[in-house]
Amino acid sequence: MLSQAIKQEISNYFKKQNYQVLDLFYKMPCNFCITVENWDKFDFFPDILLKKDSTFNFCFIILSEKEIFKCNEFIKEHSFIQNYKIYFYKDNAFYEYYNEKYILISKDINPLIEKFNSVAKTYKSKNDKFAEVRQMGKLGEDKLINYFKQTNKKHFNLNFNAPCDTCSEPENWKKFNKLPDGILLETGKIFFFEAKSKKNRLFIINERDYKEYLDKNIFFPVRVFFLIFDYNLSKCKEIFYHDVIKKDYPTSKQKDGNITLDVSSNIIQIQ
Amino acid sequence: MGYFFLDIETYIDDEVKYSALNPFTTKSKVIAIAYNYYNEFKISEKIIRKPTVLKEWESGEKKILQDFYTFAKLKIPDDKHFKYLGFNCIKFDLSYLMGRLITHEIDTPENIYYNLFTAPHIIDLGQISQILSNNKFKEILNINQKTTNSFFDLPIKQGTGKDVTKFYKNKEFDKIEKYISEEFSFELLYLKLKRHIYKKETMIKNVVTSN
Repeated sequence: MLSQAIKQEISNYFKKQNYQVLDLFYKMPCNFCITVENWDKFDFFPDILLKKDSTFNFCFIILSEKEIFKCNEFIKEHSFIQNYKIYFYKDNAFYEYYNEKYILISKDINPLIEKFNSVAKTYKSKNDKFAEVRQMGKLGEDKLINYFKQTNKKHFNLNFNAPCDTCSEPENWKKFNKLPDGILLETGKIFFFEAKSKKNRLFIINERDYKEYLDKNIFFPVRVFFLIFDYNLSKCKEIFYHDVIKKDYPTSKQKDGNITLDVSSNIIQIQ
Repeated sequence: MGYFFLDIETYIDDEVKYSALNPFTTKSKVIAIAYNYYNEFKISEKIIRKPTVLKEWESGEKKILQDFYTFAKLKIPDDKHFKYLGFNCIKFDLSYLMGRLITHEIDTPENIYYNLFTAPHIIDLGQISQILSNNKFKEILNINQKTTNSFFDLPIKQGTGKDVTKFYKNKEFDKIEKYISEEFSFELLYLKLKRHIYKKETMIKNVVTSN
């Protein structure tokens, strides 16, 4: 995908300028996909998060001037964050769009479409567990968003709504840009949020995921919500959250081989 | 079918000592709200966990009151059997919370009363524990949590509510948390009381039997 390559190149540009950069844009986990090429249902949100010193900016990277309207609509709708920037790419150059003017940032952007190798399927993929996991995950996200709405908590999603969400055949799942579920404003502080659906009160998090959350803490703290459902997933019984911090949590090995951390000593119940 | 176990800690002012019992003095304040909610038909020992503690010293009194109230307000319509459980929670915890919620104008007094007293059920373990009181008058008399816990061989907290204010003034917040966690044995106490009642035993009978 050319747009993905352009966004990656602009992200790399900022990294070279000593920004801390978190890519928020969609990354295709396959070398080619006809479904993605024709997919027009991607959710719209900023493409990269930039941080330098203590200043951060959510940045849109647009390839068409028509998208300025969409950016402005998003910014207006999510004005609980005031740090937005819009970058516009055209003919190997990119500009900052500011006050209805285009300010040249660089004219040396050379997007490359990278080819990559396939990787082995995971345990869950091999055993076709992903559909079930995804269904539970989606249910939890929906319940959490509903809770945010009920309690007037300002937030936005970072879910791509990509066709990959229902695809069990990615060539290289590691290439998919796995993000927290969204951004949340809580008592004046910005968090990444992540929903985890459970059928029992097991407050465990995959160690690998936890390391990724800790990496994201350099931008914003990560708040993991546990949504406890009844056995047949018909009702969300309770909701808890855990704020990700570096600490020695008890570990255990699950039957799928994953190492998990037990964070039950550090949870807050909110429902 | 939810069980909302609840306990609060309040501030004792040097000059207005009853600030800890009366929510309407100028010095009244909730220092901490501890709770555990189990959305279950029945609870058992194996699901008991450490309570959530909302701390005034971290977020301010108004915020912890809002968080507690939001919890109850959202959950009660969803759980027709929602019940508050605590020790002396009718006379103290819920009444004091109502006063503070009204003072901070978290909601209308009408709604606050509805969400604290009208809609939910309340099981006051302090009231139930009175049937255990072993006194020479053979009356149903007040009994404190330490005595009740002792009868059931449950852990007994060190110190009293006065110590909480002392810790609070000295910013010894970890000691407050320790106090709260020792005091918060309501789930076990509920189970013990329930089983005791269904066995139709009393403390007097028990003493006679043991002699």
